[in-house]
Amino acid sequence: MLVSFFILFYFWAAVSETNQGVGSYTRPQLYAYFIVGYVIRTLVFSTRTGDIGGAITSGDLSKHLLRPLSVLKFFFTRDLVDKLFNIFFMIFEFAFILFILKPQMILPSPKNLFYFLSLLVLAIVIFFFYSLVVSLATFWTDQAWSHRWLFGVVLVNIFSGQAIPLDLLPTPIFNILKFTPFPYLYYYPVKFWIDDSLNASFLPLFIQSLLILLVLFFLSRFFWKKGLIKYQGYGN
Amino acid sequence: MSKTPTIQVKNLSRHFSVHDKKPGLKSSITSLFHRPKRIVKAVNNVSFDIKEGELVGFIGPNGAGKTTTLKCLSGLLYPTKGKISILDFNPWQRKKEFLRQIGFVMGQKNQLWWDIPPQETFLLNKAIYEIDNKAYKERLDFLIDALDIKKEISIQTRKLSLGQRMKCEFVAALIHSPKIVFLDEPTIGLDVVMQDKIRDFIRDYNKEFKATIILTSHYMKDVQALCKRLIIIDKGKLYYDGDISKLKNGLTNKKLLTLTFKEEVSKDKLEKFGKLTKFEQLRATILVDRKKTSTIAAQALKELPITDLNIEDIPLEQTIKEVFQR
Ligand SMILES: Nc1ncnc2c1ncn2[C@@H]1O[C@H](COP(=O)(O)OP(=O)(O)OP(=O)(O)O)[C@@H](O)[C@H]1O
Ligand SMILES: [Mg+2]
Repeated sequence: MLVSFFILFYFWAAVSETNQGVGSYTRPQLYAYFIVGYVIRTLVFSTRTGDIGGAITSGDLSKHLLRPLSVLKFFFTRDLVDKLFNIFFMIFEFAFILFILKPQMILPSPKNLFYFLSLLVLAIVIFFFYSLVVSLATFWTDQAWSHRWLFGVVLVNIFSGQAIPLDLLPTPIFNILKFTPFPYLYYYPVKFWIDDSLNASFLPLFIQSLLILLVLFFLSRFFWKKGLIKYQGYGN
Repeated sequence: MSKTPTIQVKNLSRHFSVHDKKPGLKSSITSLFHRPKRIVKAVNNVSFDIKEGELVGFIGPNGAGKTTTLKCLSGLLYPTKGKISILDFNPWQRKKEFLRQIGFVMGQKNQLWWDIPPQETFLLNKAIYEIDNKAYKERLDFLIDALDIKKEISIQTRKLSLGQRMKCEFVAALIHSPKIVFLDEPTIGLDVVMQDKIRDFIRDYNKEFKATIILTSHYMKDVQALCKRLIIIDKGKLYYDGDISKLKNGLTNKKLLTLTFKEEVSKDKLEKFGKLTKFEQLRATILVDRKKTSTIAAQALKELPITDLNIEDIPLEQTIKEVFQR
C-alpha cells in the first residue's frame, strides 16, 4: 500500500515538475489529490467482503450460514472494526508521509472538510456493497476469482480516480463514469478536499452517491437471496 | 416426549447440475460457448420421520447422498423438491430460533477458527448464541470433562492433531445445547481408541440431553454401537428404514460357520456344506442356512478333522455390502 503510494506520488510529482501542474491542477493540488487519496484508500478500499466470494467457492460459507447471525451483518461489522484499527495505524503512516515528503499540502475549509467527510462515509459504505455484489456474483460462476479480480480490483483502480484525476480523462468517458459507483469512491471526495470548484454541486452529488448506494444495497440483497438458492455447499 | 415427529422429511429431492468438461484446450474453448449439462440426483424422493430423542444411523456408500440430505436438513441447501419440517421450522428459512436449536459436526470440515485457540471460538459462539455465563460454564465444564480436553482448548487450532481438533469441534457445535444434532462422519480418520471415546460421548450426550441425533458413518461399529434405527440410502434413494436388528435377521437368513482344522482339507470336501466365503490352509468360513446350522455343524464335526468350530451372525457390514451388490 505504502509502496504503490510512493510510486504514484513520484510519478505525478515528476509530471507536474516540468510544467508546474497538469491540466487544471496545480502542483499542491496534485499532491493533495494523492496524499488525501491515501487516506481514502486505507479507509474505503480496505474491505474483506472478498472473503465471501472465496467462502462460496470453498463451501466455507456453510460455517457462517449455520449460525444464528446475519452473515452480511457479520461481514459489515467486521469491516467496521477493521477500519477503526486502520484509522489508528493510518495516523502514524500519514504523519510519516507528511514528514518524508513535506509537500505543500492544501488544507480544506471547515465547510469543505465537512463535504469531504460526508462523501467519505458514503464511499466506505458504497464500496462495501459494491464488493459484496461482486463477491456474491460468485454464486453463478465457477471461476473463483477472475471476475472478482476484474471488477473488484482492476476497474476500481482505473475508474475511481486513484491513478489519474478523472477530469483529465476524455469528457465522454468521464460522463459515463458518473453513472457508475467508481468516481464516488475516490475522485469526488478528494475533489472536495482540494478545492471548492464543485461546492455548488455538493448536494446533487451527495444524492447521486446515495442513490448508487441504494441500488447496490438492494442488488446485494437480491443476489444474496437468489444466490443462496444456487449455493452448492461444496466440500465434505 | 411429544407425539409429532421432531424431524419430518417428505419426498425430499436435491439435484445438482454439473458441467462435464473434457480435458484439453480445444474443449476448454468450445465449453465457453456450449457447456453440456448433466443433472445429478444426489437425493431422490426421500421421506422419513424422526422422533424426539432418537439416535438414528444414516448410512450408505460413497456418493449416496447422506451429506446432501444433512445439508438440506440444516438449511444450507435449497431442496429441489419436497418438504422438510424440523421442530415446526422450515430449515431453509434459517430462522434464528431454528439455528439456535441445531448443531452440525462435519468430520471433514472444520468450523473452528483456524488461527485462534478453540477456547476463543467457544467464547465467540457464546456471544453469537447469546448463552448466559452460568449456562455456558456448566455446559463447557460438562463437555470438557466428557471429552477430556482440558489442555487442548487453549492451543491454537491449527496446531492440534486431528483427533484433538475433532473433540473441540464437538464442543463448538454443542456448546449452545442444540436439540437436534447432525453428525457427518464424526469419527473419520480417528484411531480406534479415539473412535471409542467419541462413540461413548455421543451415547451419553443423547441420553443426558435427550437430543435427537442423526449420525452418518462408514464405520459400521459406530452405528452398531449407538443406533437402534438405521436409515440406508443408495444413489439418492431410500433403501431401508427400520430396526438395525431386523435388518440383520430379515435380510439374510444365513449364518457363518468358521472351522479350524488339524490338517489340510480339500476345497471340494467343504463346498458341499455351503458357500465357501474364506479358505485358508487350516481354516475355512462357510455361509450356511440359518435353520440348518446345527445339522451342518454336526455333520462337519463327524466328517472333518476339526479342532475348533465357531458359529456367528453375519457382520452387519457384510450384510450391507450384500444389499448394495444386489
Ligand atoms: N455441489 C455439488 N455439485 C455437484 N454434485 C454434487 C455436489 N454435491 C454433491 N454432489 C453429488 O451428489 C452425490 C451425493 O453426494 P453426497 O456428498 O451427499 O454423498 P455422501 O453420501 O455424503 O457420500 P460420502 O459417503 O462419500 O460422504 C454425489 O454423486 C456427488 O457427486
Ligand atoms: Mg458425505
